[in-house]
Amino acid sequence: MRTDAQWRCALSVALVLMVLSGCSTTRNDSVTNSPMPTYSGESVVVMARSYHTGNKTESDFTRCIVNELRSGQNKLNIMRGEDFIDAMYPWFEPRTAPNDIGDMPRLIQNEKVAARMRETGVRYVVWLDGNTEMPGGGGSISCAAGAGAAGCFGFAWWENDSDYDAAVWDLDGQKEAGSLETKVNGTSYLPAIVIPIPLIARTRAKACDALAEQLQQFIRSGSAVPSVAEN
Amino acid sequence: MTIFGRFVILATLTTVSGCGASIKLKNDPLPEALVEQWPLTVAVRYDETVRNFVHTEKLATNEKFQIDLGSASQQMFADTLGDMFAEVIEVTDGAPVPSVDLLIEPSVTALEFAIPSQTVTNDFAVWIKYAVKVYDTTGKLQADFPVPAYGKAASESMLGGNRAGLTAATRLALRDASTLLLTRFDVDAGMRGRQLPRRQNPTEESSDEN
Repeated sequence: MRTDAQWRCALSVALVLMVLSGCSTTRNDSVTNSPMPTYSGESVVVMARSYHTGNKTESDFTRCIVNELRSGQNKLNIMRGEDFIDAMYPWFEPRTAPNDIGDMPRLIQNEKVAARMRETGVRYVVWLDGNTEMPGGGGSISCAAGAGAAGCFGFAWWENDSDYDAAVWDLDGQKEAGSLETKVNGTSYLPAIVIPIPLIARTRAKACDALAEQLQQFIRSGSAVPSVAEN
Repeated sequence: MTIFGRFVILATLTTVSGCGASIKLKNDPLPEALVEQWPLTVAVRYDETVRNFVHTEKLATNEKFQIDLGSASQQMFADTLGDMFAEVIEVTDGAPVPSVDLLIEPSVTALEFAIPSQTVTNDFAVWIKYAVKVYDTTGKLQADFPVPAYGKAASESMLGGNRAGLTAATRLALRDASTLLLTRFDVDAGMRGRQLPRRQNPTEESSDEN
């Protein structure tokens, strides 16, 4: 019979292992096409590229980027993508959204669109593209249950690749100011000795943090520093 | 894919799409459309399928789905045509058509959907196909074109299950139909670059008769 102390110890070890995470590598890259004007609080709208173009950016990734951009020392003035899309209806719908900054002049020829664009106060549009995939993995885990006991034994692992990029359009200057890219590759592990203990590489969350930080830097200072980090 | 991965995906798909769903759409108004309005008065006669449409389907897995558009299509057409034309007059079945520039008759011809266990993704997809007939001032059929609308929505949470995903995808399909009408009606209805026949006003008609 196990004592309370033994149970508490086992539980603590399990919790410590659960907060540990798998290994990952983060690569940030950026391309600046034109110098950015000084940021003075203009609105920024963040949207995922249309699914009509085959984009699969997860909506929770877009929400994560928006929340990150709204927080911290370099926080930006963010307008909700849904509100912008409604305000510009029907010109930023999945079927009609401009694919390229070169499509904007024709759109703005519509006086109603131009006037509404001014009303929203949006200067920068950030288009998100990319997604998280699980390209491979291996190992095996077996679980069994009997009268009064159950458990698993084995080891499994899998990779996650989070690859996202963001194109920043300057609507006032009618140009694509630049593009930023974040790639996070990670490996998650699942050792199981009686209970499975997932050591998850949170690649999507890390990609969100890294891309949002790059975007804040880029919009505020006109450039973002390429970097590679392992953690 | 690992055994764990397969287990997680299987468990997710089972949870998300394991028990069918029945949804009824609300008549959510569309945003005001930023389009140039045609200076025309049009009449619209809604087919019964636009006023009330229910799609029921039983999958091979025995899951039963029902998508009740109710009058959401009618609301969509009313909002869309209201933004496109200066005046829109609704005409009921059997009632005489007033003197107008165009008569528009929309109907729903098909609805299809796909759930995550079919698409093997996390996405719900809905296709709604409308047919739109446009008659000119003389009552002659000027155009008859399809409006194939599509909506796709990811399952936001396992708790929402099929209902939330299907509702979101159906709403997006209705919005897509409106977008197609707003941006392509002139081409589809054969109105681009054409001088529209103007209806005679009642005084002209009476003077002709005299």
